[in-house]
Order: sequence, then C-alpha cells, then structure tokens
Amino acid sequence: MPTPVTFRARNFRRLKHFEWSPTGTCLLSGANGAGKTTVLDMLRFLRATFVSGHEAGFHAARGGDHFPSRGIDPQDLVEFEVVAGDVHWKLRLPMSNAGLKGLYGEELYHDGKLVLRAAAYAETWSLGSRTMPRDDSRCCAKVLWDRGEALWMEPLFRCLNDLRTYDYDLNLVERGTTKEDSNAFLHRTGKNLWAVLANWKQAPLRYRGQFDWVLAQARRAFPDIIDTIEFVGGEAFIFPPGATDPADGFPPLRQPAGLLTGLLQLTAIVGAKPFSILAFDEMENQLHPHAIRAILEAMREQSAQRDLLIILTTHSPIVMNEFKGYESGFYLLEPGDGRAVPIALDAARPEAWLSHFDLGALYEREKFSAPGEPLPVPMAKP
Amino acid sequence: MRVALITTGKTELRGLPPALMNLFPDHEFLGIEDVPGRPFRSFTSGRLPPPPEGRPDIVDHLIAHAAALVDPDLVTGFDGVIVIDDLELLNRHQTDVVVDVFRAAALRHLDLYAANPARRSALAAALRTKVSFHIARPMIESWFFGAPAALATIGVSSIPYHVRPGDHEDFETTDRRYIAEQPSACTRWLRNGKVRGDRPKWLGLDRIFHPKGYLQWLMIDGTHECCTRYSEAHAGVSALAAIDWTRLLGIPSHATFARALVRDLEVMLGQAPEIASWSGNEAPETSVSTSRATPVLRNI
Repeated sequence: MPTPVTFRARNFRRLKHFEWSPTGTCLLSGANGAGKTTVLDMLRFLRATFVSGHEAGFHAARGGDHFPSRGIDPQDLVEFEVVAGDVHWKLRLPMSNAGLKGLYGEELYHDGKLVLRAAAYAETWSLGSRTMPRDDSRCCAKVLWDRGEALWMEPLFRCLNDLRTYDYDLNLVERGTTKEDSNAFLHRTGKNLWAVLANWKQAPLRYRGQFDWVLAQARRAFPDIIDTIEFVGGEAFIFPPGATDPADGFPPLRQPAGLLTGLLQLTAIVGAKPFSILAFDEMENQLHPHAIRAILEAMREQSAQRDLLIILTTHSPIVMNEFKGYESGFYLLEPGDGRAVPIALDAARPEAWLSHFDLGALYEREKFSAPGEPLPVPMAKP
Repeated sequence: MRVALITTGKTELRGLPPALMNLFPDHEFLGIEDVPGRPFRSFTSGRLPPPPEGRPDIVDHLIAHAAALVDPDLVTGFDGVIVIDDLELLNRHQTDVVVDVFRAAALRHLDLYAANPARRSALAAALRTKVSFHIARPMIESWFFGAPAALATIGVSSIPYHVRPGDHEDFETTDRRYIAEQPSACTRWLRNGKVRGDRPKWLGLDRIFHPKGYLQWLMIDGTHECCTRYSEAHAGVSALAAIDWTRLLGIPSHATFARALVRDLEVMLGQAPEIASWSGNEAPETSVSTSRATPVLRNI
C-alpha cells in the first residue's frame, strides 16, 4: 500500500490556501494562471529543500522571488506542509517579493508529537531537549535524517526523494547521445534518455525488461514510426516498422517531437521506483490524440502495478475525456467559497450532471476551470 | 413554470425567450448558452444522413444538455426543455430524417445508463415528459415574413420585398433583382478572399427559398460582414422578440411547425397562450397530438 501523502501550502503565489491528498493517476485542471505550474513549483521546492537545502529549493521553484500570494499582509509567512503517513513536516518562510527575509521556520512531527522545531528568524533549532545551531545548507529534518537514527522518517524521505517533476528539454534529447553520466533514471530534463534506454537494453534482467516495455508501449502509441531503437557508437537510431537496412534508422534529431515526448514519458514512468511521485506538466504537448490515450493507459497500468502517484496538468479535452469514470482523480484549481484548492471534480460538480457529458466537452464549454467566476451548476438532489 | 430553451442560433438564443414570454406571460423562458454568450451548434447545417450518422458529435451534445436539465437526480430549476433547430434548405424534403436523428440521439444517450436500469428508466421518463424537439422550417427568419411587423422592427418595412403568397414555412421569393444579384456586390467578402464565414447566405444554391439570405440581401451592404447590415445577434433578436403570434399563426393551414411548438407549450404549461385565434394544423412530425407507439421525448 502506498503511504498516504498530503501537501499543503498557504500564501504561496497563486496557492493561497492549498491542500491536496492525491492518489493514483490524477489530473490538475485550471484556467491560465490558476496555479497548475505553481503546484509543480511547490513540489520541486519541497523536494529540493529537503534533499539539498533551501537555496536549491528556490532554484528548483524557478527563483525565490514573488513567493508570497498577492494581497497578503507583509508579516504573513509562506507556509508549506508535507504529511507522509505519520510524519508531518512544516516550513514557514518569511518572504518578500524579493526573496527570503530571514531564517525560515521548520517543524517535524512524528505520530502527532513535535520532534524538532526551528522558529522563523531563529539561529538555533531544538530536538527534544537539545538546542543546536542551524546548519548552513541543510534543513533541520534532513540533518536529523542524515544522522541515520530517525528511521521513522522514511515515509517523508521516500515521498520527497522519489518525487520527480519533469520539464523536458527536447533540444537536449534530440542530440541522441548515450554519453551521459547518469543512466539508471531519467533526468528531469530528459537529457539522459538515450543513455538510460541503452543501459536498460543492455541489462534486461537488472532493469526488469524496462526497455522492452517502453518499446512495446511506444509501438502502440506511435505504430507507424517506431519499431525498434538501436545504439551504435554512443548514438541512438530509431527504426520504423518494416525497416530492413541500417540506413532505415534515423537519429532523434530527425524524429517527430511527439515520439521523443512519448519516449520520455514512458521512460520516466517505468524507471520510477515503486511508490514514487511523478509530475508531468501539460503531458499532451506534441502528442496526437492516439498517443495521448495510449500513454495515459500505460501510466495507469504502471501506477496500479507499482503504486506510483502520477500527477498530470493539462488543457487538453482529450486528456480530460480519459478521466471519465475517474472523476475523483480529476482536480480543479478554481476559486471556491473559501475552500482549499484543488477540489475533485466529483466533489465540485454533481456526479449525475457529469454523467451526461464528455469531460473535455464541459471544459471546452467553460463549465469548469474557466476564467472568471465559476458558472452556476445544478445541485444534486438531497 | 420555468422552461429552458436550447437553441442553435444567436437570434433564437436571445429573441425566443421574450417572444414566448409574450405568449405565456405567467411563465419563464431562458435561453441556455453552450459556450458563454453563444448558442449551441446546429446539427442540420448539412444534408443529414439517416441515423446512426447524422452529426452525432453535435446532436449528442444537444440531447446531453437537455437531459442534464431534466435529470431527476439534480435540482436544475427547470420544469421543461425545448430544443429547437432550423430545418435548413438541404433538409427541407426530409423532416422525418431530422426528427429520426434527434430521436436516435436521445436513445443513444439513454444507453449510457444501460448498466443502471433504475436511473435509465427515471431519465427516460423525464425526457418523455419534459423535453421536446421542435423545428423552425426552413429557418427562424421565415417567421419574420409570416408576421411582417417583425421586419418593420429592423427597418425592412421601408424596403419593397416580394414573397410568393402562401405558407411562410414554404418560403419563396419572386424578387427578380435578388435572383439576379451578383457576388460583385460584396466587395468586402471578395477582398477578404471569399472566406466561408463571411459569405452571404444568398450566394448558395436555392437562394429563392432562403429567407435569411433574402433578408440579408434586403439589407445588403458590401462593406459589412456577410455583405449585409442584417445582424442575427441584434436585428434578428429584436424582430423575433416582437413577433406577432396572431399574425404568424393566423391561417390554420400555415405555420404548422410553429403551431406545433405553441401547442406543445400549451400542454406542458397547462395554460392557453395569450392570443385570440391560433387553432389550425400542426406538423405531425413534431406535434404532441400525434400518436406514437414508443415516444422518446414529449413530441417525437
């Protein structure tokens, strides 16, 4: 069973009041500027802050400027929380639009009991009865984890360490080289795609047939353009169905962007450790509807088999249509009557009403996740 | 009672609610928008093949909205729904096919609930008692020629026009100047590369049977969109809102599709319309009085 996880944010950019406990394969939808990318920034910030310190966190969140939500009191803190099983980690950041104003506050709870605390602006932190100076780079929770004594922190460690938000750079992928340092997992930019695939192909037992799975799914998603991939002299070559000659293989630079995106997504999914959290911004980019459906199916399969939490953001009605019957995993980032966002679609709109429509058709017609005030919708009969 | 109107034209979206409120002032009619500010798409804009084809993408969306508005599991605030679409010239000889396409769409929608017989049954009953499908033959602008005071509201009364006497639902103009008009009159359309969205309706086939085309031509202006000063969203709305029902329905053998709509509302609302004399024939295809073995909606 995957560890239940909850993310909370207050006063962070568009996320004034955010609380989310996603599971399985889920979708975040919202109008432009609703905060979809901000959610991914929050995930990047939390991971990088825990693993490498707050400076890395700000860098991962695309800068530490303009963290506070518009209109909040300057004394208000920007707050983040992660609850992973019985471990609860809180961060309180004194921020201005220019960046961090002073040392941030931090608390860690185990099973509801406070284990460590650092007040905002304070130079020290307390662990039980002991008081210690703050570490220059690491957060207090990471200092405690690195001591190797607090094994109960594992749900939090696993949640954040195995969290990946992908932000592909197709220019790097098009180079087609297998000469990258890291070759076990896909880098967030996708730059080591071919190194990872070549590595998996060479060691099918070690990597549980991951290369074959990627290829099989890619053939389903792109039946006319890929049959196999060969690696020669540190370069990747993709062969279409019916290829009989080495010259039929073309390098990534000569491949459709959609195929490269599809291979990146499939590689990211199958290469993730069990219980990982993976996030993809606008997964539909460059993809034909056939490929979108095939890749989503592959994502659901892997999510179910290996308890992955897969987070997708989208503006695509096609992606949304694939969530018919999965409305509880379809989340809306739209302002509600003081409620925290996001709200699951089947909580925001009556199930009986949703049952009449394709979800993408409703989105296209601005029945949810639309700019401006939400339109009135029918209520379920009591 | 409160009745939702699912319409497929800008004129009907804004003009039909006040027109029907004039007939039934004790009741409320509301035009439903598909996208904010816009009506639904029409499923009759081409010659319809019989079901199961017949533009399922569009017609299924129409019936889905109608069904959602009368869903017994929801509080929607509506007691009934009227879906009304133009027949259009390409379908004027096959009203039965248009009705069959809509009926088939309603059955397809109910099939979505095949796994839940109780819900399917409740929804089927709601469709059968609260939703109707009506037709403007060949299109809503024919009504303006059946009740010419509507034309006066948009400034056409000062322009001489020539329509063959008879049922305006079989509209035909005998205006020789209109019949002879050339595309060269539409300078903006020609200059802009003859884009389809800016094309005057009268440039199509069968222009003599096209009331909207004729109306556009009566208000011709080569520098305007669609080569006309006639605007569906403004002039058309004013004309329809002020329609003279007594005149429109005054001849018992004429306006049978419009009369079928009014009769349906009379039965639905349980109240006679506020016009003196309107009895006459109703189009059997959409009349609530037609006996049907297995009705799917109130009138088809």
